[in-house]
Amino acid sequence: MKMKWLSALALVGLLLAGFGAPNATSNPAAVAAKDIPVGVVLPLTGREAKPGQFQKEGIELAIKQINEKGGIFVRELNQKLQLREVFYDDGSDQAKSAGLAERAMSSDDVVAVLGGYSTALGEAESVMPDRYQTPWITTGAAATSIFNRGYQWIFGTLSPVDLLGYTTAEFLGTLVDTGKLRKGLKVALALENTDHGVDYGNGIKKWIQERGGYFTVVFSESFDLGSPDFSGLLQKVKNAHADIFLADAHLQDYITMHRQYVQAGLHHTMISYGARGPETDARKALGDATDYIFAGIWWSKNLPYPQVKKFVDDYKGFTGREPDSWYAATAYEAVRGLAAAIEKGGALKKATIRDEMRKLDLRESLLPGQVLRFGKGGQVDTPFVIVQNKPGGRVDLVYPKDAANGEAVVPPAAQK
Amino acid sequence: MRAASTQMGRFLNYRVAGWGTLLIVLGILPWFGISSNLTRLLFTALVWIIASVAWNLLGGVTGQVSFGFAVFYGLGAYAAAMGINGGLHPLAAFTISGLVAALASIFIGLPTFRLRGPYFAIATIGVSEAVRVVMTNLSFTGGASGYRIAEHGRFRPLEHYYTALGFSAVAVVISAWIHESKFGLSLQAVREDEEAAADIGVNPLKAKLMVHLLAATLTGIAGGVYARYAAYIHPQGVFGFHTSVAILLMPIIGGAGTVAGPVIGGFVYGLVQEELVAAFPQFHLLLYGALLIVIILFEPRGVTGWLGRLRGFIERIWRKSATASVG
Repeated sequence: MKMKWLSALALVGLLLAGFGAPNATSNPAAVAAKDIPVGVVLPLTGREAKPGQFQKEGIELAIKQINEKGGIFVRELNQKLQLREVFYDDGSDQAKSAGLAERAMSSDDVVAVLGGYSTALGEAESVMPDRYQTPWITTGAAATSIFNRGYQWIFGTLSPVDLLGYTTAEFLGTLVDTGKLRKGLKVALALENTDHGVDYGNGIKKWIQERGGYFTVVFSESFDLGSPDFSGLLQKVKNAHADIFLADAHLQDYITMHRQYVQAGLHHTMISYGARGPETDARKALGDATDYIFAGIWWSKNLPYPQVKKFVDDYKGFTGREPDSWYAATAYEAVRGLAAAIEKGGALKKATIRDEMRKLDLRESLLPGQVLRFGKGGQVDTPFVIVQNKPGGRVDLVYPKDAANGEAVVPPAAQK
Repeated sequence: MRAASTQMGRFLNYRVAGWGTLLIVLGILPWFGISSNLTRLLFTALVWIIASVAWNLLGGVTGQVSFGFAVFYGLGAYAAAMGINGGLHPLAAFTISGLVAALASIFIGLPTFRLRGPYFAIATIGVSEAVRVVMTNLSFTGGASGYRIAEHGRFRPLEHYYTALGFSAVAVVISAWIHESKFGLSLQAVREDEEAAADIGVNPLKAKLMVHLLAATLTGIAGGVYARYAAYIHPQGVFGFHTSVAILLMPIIGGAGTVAGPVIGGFVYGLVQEELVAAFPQFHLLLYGALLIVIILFEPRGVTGWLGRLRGFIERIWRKSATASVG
């Protein structure tokens, strides 16, 4: 009985310690003078935990590097201030995600909020920036529906998903042009039933319509995000007798769907799961079944830029492993962009930061094209790169040609 | 007899005074310049209180444990969102939220109330999941992409706060009335023994349907109030199983079957949960789980049970000291 009460008291003590823990709300004025608080809302638990963790690492690496150089010079205060992360885990829950972004904006006195992975969570958060007139930079939401609503305070370091679809089809088109694929192949589309999936499908269809004769879409159906079972959908894909299978899926769905794809004995000449493919988790879970899957991604560690090589080394030093796919880089760039905007504006006023973000033209960016610039709606418009899994756990950047470090391969089995 | 009735009247007056004081405190709190974060947290807690009080009418008072209240919450949220986008005044939109949820309660209640105990609970989970899947694939509500409410003009958090406060006050009044009414007695009779209740003239199915309808209406309104504030709703959120569990947990934390319990549970859930997320981002779920275990382990009647014990303890001390001073 005594132990019961002791454990209860310990828990209550811990809770009270939590409530009393110093945070940005405790004395905003005092805090504002000695550092620059930046809100970060990302999932560390729930279904998006893994990408959320990678994005958090990217943000923290950037903050660490900026702070190691003494911080950001704020002209108005005539001093260098360090960045301070105010982090919240949204548990991959939309309501919580919006609530925590709101909390950061309304009470933590942050100059900006970063986060919003993935599109579904970003959609929920995107309501808040204009309400609280606080810049919000999404590091992991790319659906155009977020950026075409006329919001004035939102930015994103991911290019639109319709461009991903377009680039995917364009890449397949180059395989036709180089004789690796024949013209007129049939395509099956399995699209996540979200704005992300809609945009992806639209991008593919747009390219196919523009270049008549290359491909024909013979199947297009949507699926539930986070579904545990895709066997019905995959059976329909099988019956469509397509040559190419293009799905738009998030990491967990990619792993689940491809496992069931393999179990169902499906074969296609080329397979893609949209922006997912090279992730270590998937390759560990599915082994060589992921070989030759290609993905259109926002960034690759194989980009031939010196700053990318340095980032990969720094990230490895920071986390003990190489960046997994694109997640960390777009988050890292968001912090760099924000830091540049604060320094250029020379003030911590949110409106000044927002205005500078709009004018931002950050060179030596990690992103393809090496420039970080936000478009009219606040979203970047950097090109996508295509990577392809190769046997032995290798991942090659195969498109565009001028950045490629490997050849696009049509799987040997498919060529027979 | 007269003494007992006077005592009862005094007790009721104390309770009315207590609730009135709480309402006044919550009403004037924003005038004292509380932070916008606290306003938001209180708003969230008040919305949860509406749903919690509603669930308690069915689950606590009537003993019908439903895992499907997210259906009413979600339908209310979507009805309000679409109504507001269609140009309706928010109050009219909330009325529609309540009506849609009430209608749904009849369709759900008629077949499921034929079942009892765990079978009823399982059926409500099934209905809730089915509705979530339908809403996820319904294109005119935005499907899995969610639904956004167009915001016009400045965001006024206090307007949302007072709306939630008003509706939660109405919910508590309804709950208190039911607890004191003949209808409430018939619900309690159903909870204790349906056959015995039928023998004394209560129609169990009718009673359950009526209280289900009332609870659904309130939950639908709660969903509507939330949707207007969030401005973006999504089937996985408002229709999610976790929403049903949250609605069910609050009265259990506070004390099911009482008037005050669901209100306390709503406050605890609304305020504590997010503070835990904020203070302990890495292990907030562990702490929240531990908090629940502690509550259930020490006092299955929830926080109101604890308060009852505390009152008993204070009364004993008071009586002892009174006896000592007389001696």
